[in-house]
Amino acid sequence: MNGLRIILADPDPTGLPAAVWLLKFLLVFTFVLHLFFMNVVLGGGLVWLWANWRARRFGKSGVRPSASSGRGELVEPRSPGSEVMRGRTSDAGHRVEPSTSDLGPRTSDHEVLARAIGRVLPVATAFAITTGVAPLLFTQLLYGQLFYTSSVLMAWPWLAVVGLLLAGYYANYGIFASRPGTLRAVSLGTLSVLLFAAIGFLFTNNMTLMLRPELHAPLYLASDAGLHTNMADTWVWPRFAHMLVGSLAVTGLVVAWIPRIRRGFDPHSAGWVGRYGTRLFMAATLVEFLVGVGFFFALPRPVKDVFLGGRTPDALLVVAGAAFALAAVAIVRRSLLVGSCATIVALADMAVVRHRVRAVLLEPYFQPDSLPVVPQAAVFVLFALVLVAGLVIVAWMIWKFVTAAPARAGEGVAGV
Amino acid sequence: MNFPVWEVPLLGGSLLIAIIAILHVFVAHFAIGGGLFLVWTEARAYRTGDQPLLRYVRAHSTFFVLLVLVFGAVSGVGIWWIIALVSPSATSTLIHSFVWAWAIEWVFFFVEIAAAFVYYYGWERLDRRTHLAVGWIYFAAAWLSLFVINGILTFMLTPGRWLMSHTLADGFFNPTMIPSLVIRTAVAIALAGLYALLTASRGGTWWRTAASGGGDDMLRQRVTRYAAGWLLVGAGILPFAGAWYVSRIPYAAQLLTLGGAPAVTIFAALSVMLSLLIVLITWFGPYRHPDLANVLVASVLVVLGLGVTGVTEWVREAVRKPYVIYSYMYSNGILQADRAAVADRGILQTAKWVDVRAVARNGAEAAAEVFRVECRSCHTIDGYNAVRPLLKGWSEPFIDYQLQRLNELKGYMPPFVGTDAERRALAIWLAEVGRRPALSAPPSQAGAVAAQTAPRDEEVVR
Repeated sequence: MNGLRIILADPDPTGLPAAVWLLKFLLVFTFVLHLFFMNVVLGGGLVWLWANWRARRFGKSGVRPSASSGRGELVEPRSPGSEVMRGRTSDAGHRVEPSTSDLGPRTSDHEVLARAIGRVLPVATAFAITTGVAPLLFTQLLYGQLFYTSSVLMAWPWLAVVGLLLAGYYANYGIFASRPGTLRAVSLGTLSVLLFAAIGFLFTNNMTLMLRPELHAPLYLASDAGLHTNMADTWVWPRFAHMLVGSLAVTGLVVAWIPRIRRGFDPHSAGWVGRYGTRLFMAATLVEFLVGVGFFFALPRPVKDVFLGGRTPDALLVVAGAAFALAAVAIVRRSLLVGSCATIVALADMAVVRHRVRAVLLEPYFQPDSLPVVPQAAVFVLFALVLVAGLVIVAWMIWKFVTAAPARAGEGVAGV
Repeated sequence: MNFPVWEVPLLGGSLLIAIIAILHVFVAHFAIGGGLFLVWTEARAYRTGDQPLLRYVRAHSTFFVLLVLVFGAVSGVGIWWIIALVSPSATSTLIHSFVWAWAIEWVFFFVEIAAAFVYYYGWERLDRRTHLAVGWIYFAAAWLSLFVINGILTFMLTPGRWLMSHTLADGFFNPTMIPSLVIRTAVAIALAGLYALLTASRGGTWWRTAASGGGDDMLRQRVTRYAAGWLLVGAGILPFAGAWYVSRIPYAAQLLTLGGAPAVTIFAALSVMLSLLIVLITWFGPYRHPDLANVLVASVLVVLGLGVTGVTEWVREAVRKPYVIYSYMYSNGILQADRAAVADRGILQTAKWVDVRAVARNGAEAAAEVFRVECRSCHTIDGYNAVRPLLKGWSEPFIDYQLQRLNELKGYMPPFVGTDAERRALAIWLAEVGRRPALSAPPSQAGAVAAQTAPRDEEVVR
């Protein structure tokens, strides 16, 4: 075995179908979209688990959870905003206020929180997958020479992502149809968190292993069974922790928005849920800052050198990302909108930093800019037109959905 | 050759692809036809003021969402995962050649998913007209998604003028693109009926009692007959579209289904016979006698449907052999254009991920590398498409003779490409594999091959 050999696959003879900058832009841009949804899936699972755990403890203290079941929603989807219809409940440790609604006693804050995030999870999972397809497509296009190799090296763990995703997705539908506070709700939450955390971890492994071409040949020549991982690489764990904590921060923001944008949200819990969201965001972002510092120092040396001032634009990128995140923490309680915008900028910035880390690490071996380009301009224009049309159609559907008045039983198309 | 080969013991990579792909195809076509079924039936229920039918459609939409949005979407991603692991070179070519087509398909996928959610959650929220519009948007996006993928899929068997021009349009609008699109659309309609039979047959315990209060056995029969009609309409289109498709595939591929490769012929015949069986059962069962239809009959039809999907997709993949992209790239990832160069320099010198670069002192290790690079993508030693049983009793000269004319003697296999020394080493190694008992380790550097390919004065170590 020649452990020192570096083997790099040849570029695809077909060539790239567009300028490298355009493909890089699409890669980073679609990754930011994916980042948002995948954060909500993982962070949302954690919030669901925590909220149900709290609701369950209260249930044990003698007050039973919601009387009107949230189950069966898959058979008969209820309109958002019907939280107020969910029944009598606990509330030890929280404000106990009589309902002003004529629809029945109010639900505990934790149950409302659980139900709110539980409704988001299946949709977020669907869009995490959908938005994940595009960046993976552009990754394979630009970095296929490395990505296919690292995937084969960890073939079985990498293939396991598909099974884990299937199980996690069904778990999230199970969550959607679960009554908060039940053992089933907590079990499915645990399952969902474990499965999606495992998926994230496997992605972290492959996305870092592909940046280590010097490891590829020794690993493959040691075994072609596809059972390798990149866990031995010291920056894998902090990178994964960075993603994990970040997911809680983004989910905090989403939770803070839910009472504001969802019609008919339980007015008793709206304030609490909103505050919970902003606090989660602030706490997670501050922890994320510390994790980020640790992650930074765990980065391979060439990357650290570049970001510590070797190249001013790169150093500024890192500083700007942290600054926007901290600014978001400072302002989010006064303005959720400004705080959210600052967070989006920080996310986009960090996605660019992530891309730069990739570029710096691969520089000695491979530069996408050196790949042959055979532009397919006409089809690209067609794609752009289809994309615009698709976004308009999706926006129209969402607008119709949001502006439609939530129907009571007996109304709407199905109740004719 | 350009990428490392993943060794999948017993199962083999191609079987892994088949398992994921067949399950996906069986659900993905339902995602298209089922979408049409939902909106069509909903519109019909409004037109005729058929409330119970509307309640059935709504209940069916739950089944649809849980199967299609989750399993359909994830298994589709799964195909991408597994082909990139088993055939990275071919996957890379497909992505480089068609990236904007994939990107367009991604937009349709995005719209499809969004529309499915709005449709499903919109039952109680949207007015009829908007709800139907969203249903049609769903179906249009789903079918357009098929339109794009079908073009890329058929390209692999009939790349047509792309071989000369390498342009996306030539590859996409290839000779079998339209016949295949018709076949898949018909399959989607038939599967919509098949799955609807399943949910309709559960009427007594599920949607009828849950939604309408029960007691209407006539409704169950009506829906059963209606669903059977969908299946029969879809199936009725298939023979014509199928014949059209077969007439457009390469002659060598046609021959494989007509006796050129017995397994392919048998599977092709099975596809036709199982399809006929489904039509007969549906006609004499749910369609003519909906009162007798039940969950068992529907389940049998679903199993048969999965069987037809399995054998048909297997045949479609098999007739493409020895290529993964016809007349361009062999199943093992070696480009047809590179054949002469590889034969000249040797596979061990050309392949990237090998540790042994020459058949010198250790022929066994070199031969194992040659096997890994040229044969592993289709064959296992023991297991799916195993070589050991095929080699039983074959002598080294006979194997060597076969290797020299592999593509002529077995039209579905790529030619062996490499030097004479590499071929001889492989023949000796394969003969040794054939001699050893099942599941035993392949010959290693200490085996017989070393002796026979090494200089004559070397000591033989067995």
